[in-house]
Amino acid sequence: MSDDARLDLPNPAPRPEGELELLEKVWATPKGWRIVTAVNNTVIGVFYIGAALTFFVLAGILALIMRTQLAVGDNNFVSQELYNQLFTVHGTTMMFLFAVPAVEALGVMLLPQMLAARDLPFPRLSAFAIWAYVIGGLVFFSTILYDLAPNGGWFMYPPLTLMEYSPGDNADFWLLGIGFIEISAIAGAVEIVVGVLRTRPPGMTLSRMPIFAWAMLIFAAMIIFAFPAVILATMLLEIERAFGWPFFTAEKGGDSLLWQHLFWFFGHPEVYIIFLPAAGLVSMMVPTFAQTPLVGHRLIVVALVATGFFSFGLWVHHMFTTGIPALSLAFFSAASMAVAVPSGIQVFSWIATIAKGRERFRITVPSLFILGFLFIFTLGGLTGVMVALVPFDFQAHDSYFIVAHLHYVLVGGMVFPLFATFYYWAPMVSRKMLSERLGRWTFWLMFIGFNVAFFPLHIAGLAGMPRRVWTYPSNLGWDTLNMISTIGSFMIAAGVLAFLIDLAKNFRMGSGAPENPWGASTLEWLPNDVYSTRSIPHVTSRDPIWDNPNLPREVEEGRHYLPGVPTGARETIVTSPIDARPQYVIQMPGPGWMHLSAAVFTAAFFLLLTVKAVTISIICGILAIVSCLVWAWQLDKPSQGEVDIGAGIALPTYRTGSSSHSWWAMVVLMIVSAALYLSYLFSYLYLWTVSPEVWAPVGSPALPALGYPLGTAAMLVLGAVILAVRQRSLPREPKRDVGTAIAAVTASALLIGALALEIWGHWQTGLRPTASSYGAMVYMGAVLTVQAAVAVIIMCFFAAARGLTRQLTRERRVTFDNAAIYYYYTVAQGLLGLLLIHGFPRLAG
Amino acid sequence: MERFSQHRSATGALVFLLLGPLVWSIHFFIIYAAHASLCALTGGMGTVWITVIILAVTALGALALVSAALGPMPVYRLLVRHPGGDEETRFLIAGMRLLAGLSTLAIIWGGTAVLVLPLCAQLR
Repeated sequence: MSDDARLDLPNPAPRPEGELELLEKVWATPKGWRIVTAVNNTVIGVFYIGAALTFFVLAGILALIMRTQLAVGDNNFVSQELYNQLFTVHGTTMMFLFAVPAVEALGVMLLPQMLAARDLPFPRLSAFAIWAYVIGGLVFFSTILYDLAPNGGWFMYPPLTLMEYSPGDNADFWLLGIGFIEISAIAGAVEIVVGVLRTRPPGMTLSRMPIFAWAMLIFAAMIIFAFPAVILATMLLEIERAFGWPFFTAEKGGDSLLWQHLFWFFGHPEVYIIFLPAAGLVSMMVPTFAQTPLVGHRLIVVALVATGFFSFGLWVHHMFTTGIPALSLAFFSAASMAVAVPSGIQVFSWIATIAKGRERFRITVPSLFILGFLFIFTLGGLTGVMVALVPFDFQAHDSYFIVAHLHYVLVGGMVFPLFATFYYWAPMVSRKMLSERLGRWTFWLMFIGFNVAFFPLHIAGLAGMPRRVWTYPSNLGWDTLNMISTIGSFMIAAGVLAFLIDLAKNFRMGSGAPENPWGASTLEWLPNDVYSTRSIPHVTSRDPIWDNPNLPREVEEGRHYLPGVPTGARETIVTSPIDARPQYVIQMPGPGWMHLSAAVFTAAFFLLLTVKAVTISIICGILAIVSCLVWAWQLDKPSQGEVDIGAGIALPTYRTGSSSHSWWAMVVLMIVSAALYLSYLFSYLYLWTVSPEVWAPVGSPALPALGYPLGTAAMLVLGAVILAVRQRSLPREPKRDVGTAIAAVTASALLIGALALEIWGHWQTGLRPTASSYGAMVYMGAVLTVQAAVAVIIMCFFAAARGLTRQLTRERRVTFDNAAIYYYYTVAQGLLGLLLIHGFPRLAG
Repeated sequence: MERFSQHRSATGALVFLLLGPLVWSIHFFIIYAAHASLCALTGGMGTVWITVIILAVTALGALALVSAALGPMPVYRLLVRHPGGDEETRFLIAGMRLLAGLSTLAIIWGGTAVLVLPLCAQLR
């Protein structure tokens, strides 16, 4: 036993009477239909997984329809038009409505328990994310039922998806429909980054953090950098479709390859966003079934990090056949091979752990799915290295070989670990475990069915069968392979059905399942209830339950940190990012209606815009913002002084400044905004290299006189200075704060004035956004800064309102600080934009 | 005995750990941006500067990472502002070295392509 284990336990026993009852009362979940207002991560997590599973089944049904159509040649089971919608909705649903939400759901459900936190740091944010996703996702999916589904493939390439070739609302459903998915994903990323780095239990240093926490941290970081590229791409395409700004139209200096760059810059990391959490889960389960610590723990951490980074250098491997120079292709080919090394490290580590097990590796349903994952994912990885070779990909691109490869890596790499997860972690949230018998039927049907369905497609692809064809001639020798594949797909469906039967028979939400039935070592297997653990443990190793078998009892007796609710409300401990030193206690919100209302109106805003119901869409948007403001008004509770968490440690209950969780969330949001703006910067420079002939001063009206950008810059800087000065002179005591209100209004007015001047400057030169890709890009820069400005003005007015209602002081200042730092970011973005728009053409011209 | 170790800079520790991938990212950005823009600006003719930039950045990146991996403590003390010697330091240094190794491999793998392929040709 380590030295640290001989430390005295933080809190004495027995615990005061009524302490546990108060803990239960404060963390109780709403009953009956009010469950929709719940924010507890276990409740939201189960809803989230349920929704993701529903979309998996729905998209799977679409796959069965496609496989039926392709079972024989010259078939007309479905029309060509419907088939195009089927493969588009299947792919989009699987990638956006199943895969990413499913792993996010597991993060929501499992991370707080693995980190012995009482909940995620922003509980209502996850609840908002799931409701926006459920409502928006169901409406999006339903478009397949009334011929309104998008039909340009899940990657929606222009020019096919421009108005000329896709005139209906179908493409708009995709573009605007995944808008709320993007918001959900980013909301989740904020939660996870702050949760993993700041709400670990005391003593759980980075080196002792569970692998799944590492995987989710990297997942969240990847979302932060990858999603903005597709957000920009969808904005550009929707604006071109709606208003004719020619970003992707070659005749006016645009380039459809720009879409591909933006989409795949997101799209390749996306598949690792899906895979890495699954790999993290496998890394948690394998040691349990081998009953030995993970071999190469450090190597796996390194492999996860390396995969996360390298995956951003692969995107052009989806574009090998587009005519890009070979040397550029070689960079991406090399990176595509390099990324296989860390994946291989993980696979060998798992195999080594299985081999090193103190007992024989236990074969259970979860471990069967893990073995199945190893087999299938490795095969997918091998074909991945094949297609990383440029000359081979020239032949295999857009053939069924790629369809086979992608399903091997995604189904093998994510779906199989997911099913292992269901069986392994069900006892955490269900009163009964799932059935071993039915589970084995599920596994074998899915495993055999999968290989029967997809292995022949490698051969079909090499035999020349292209992707996304609704039928094929019977005389090309593809019939038998397709028939075999179709039979396999129905076997997979039978396996999934067996699983659904198992769920219906055995899954019952609530506690009562066997405690730690697998003999695992990590904290989520401590005794749990609605409040997570009775006390938050002091952690001294990577396998805390194995290293201290008394830990469950100690925690349940309230002997560790924060066994009660000293503030009388929901709270958890915030610790430092590397060493997990306790820093303060967050006061967290409980159930409510406003985040639900915000989610409903956010989804409605996007979906009504899609069908061009603009007025009602705007009303819904305003209601979404109002809901968010009411929701935010309920946060930022005043300090309740210091509270004793045990071991003589007294922690404050309010924190402001750069170590506060709220500040960290704002920093993450700023990184997302910056990634969005950098994607725009890339797009601007890229289009210049493609079409310099439409750029000012040669191909477009001359730039405005320098007075315009200088005036804009002056107003931006002045607004920032006003807020910075006010930041140093907030009132000491709560009082009606008119000074902050004046500063906020003035800074907002300066921001509006600056942007109006910038836009007017270009307008009065005669430059129009529809004239050329240059014009479109100039005005797009303003659009992006206006977008940030709208958010920051709302935040400034919110802070002003807090000041006027005596809720803003030098100590209680989070709302003002958040508005101020985002204002400074907006100013920095605006200044960079001015340099680009007004400086670059003068330099290049 | 101490329940918690001495304070260290969180940002510095993360930057230290991620030194390898960060250098790889910068290397990748420079070689791709330089190659793509110089090929575009020279109308596909290419220029010796493409080779010079790619090889120089590759050599510099690899050298920087190998140096950091061989002598991590000065970089550790500068970034993390911690004297080292504890379990967490060993974890961070081991992680940094392994990531630097993988990244160096990836840098060399990508950069040496300029020695075997023509500068701006499509080769199709």
